Amino acid sequence: MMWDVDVWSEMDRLRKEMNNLFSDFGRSSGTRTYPLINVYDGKDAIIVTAELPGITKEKVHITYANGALTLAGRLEPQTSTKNLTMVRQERATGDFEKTVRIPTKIDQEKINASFSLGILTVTLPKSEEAKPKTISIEAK
Amino acid sequence: MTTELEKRGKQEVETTAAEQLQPSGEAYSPDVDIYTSTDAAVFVVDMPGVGKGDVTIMVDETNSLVIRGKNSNNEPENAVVRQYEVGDYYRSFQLSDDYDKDKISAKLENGLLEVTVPMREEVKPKRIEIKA
Repeated sequence: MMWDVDVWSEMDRLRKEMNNLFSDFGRSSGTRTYPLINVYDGKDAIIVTAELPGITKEKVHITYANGALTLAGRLEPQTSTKNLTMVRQERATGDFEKTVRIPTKIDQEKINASFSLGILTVTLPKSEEAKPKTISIEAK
Repeated sequence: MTTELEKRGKQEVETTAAEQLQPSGEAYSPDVDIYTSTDAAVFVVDMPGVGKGDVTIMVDETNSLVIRGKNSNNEPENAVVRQYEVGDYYRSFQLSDDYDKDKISAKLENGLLEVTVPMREEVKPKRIEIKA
């Protein structure tokens, strides 16, 4: 199975992260491709989670086409800070788009997404033919 | 171009060597945007997975603003792609004496924390009216 996450931009991100390795602690890095995602391969579904703190669910567009899931949207600065002077910026801003190729047949009608505490969870149920089958051995 | 105000703001809230990144155990350093004005400093902190009751904000004896968040996000361990780790958050910033640590306010929405630290009244610029 190939889990293909924008290979070239990810390689670029990795290279930058290597460069930052010694000046950078933990998760703070301005060079990664936003948003960061985790993908889980469950028995019945593929689950994709993404960290999108501060965004509202109306601002995230989720599409599934040709075996690929795309998350897109726009990160806007907080309106409460509009008249203030920014002295440090680490958080991502602007438009983002991230595509994950899903190498499993998906029941497109049953894809659903939820958003809680800044974490987006997209559940892509596997189509019947992609689910693991248990074959019982008949006694003779 | 950096204005005088920006320079001043930078000096006052910049994280220095005094910033402790990981005090104990597993904690991640969240991304932070910092804003200043003549009235206050505002810290905007990415805290995905953290609920309202799970944030602690305090100013310690060295005048450091310490922000902690307990991540309540539960994700299984068997990821086929993993770009982020799930864990608690910790970050601290040295405050100057110009800030009023008793009047800090904060709000948390969709995993984004906003902490406002006002300047002490006597430091805020005063507008002087000219009498006739």
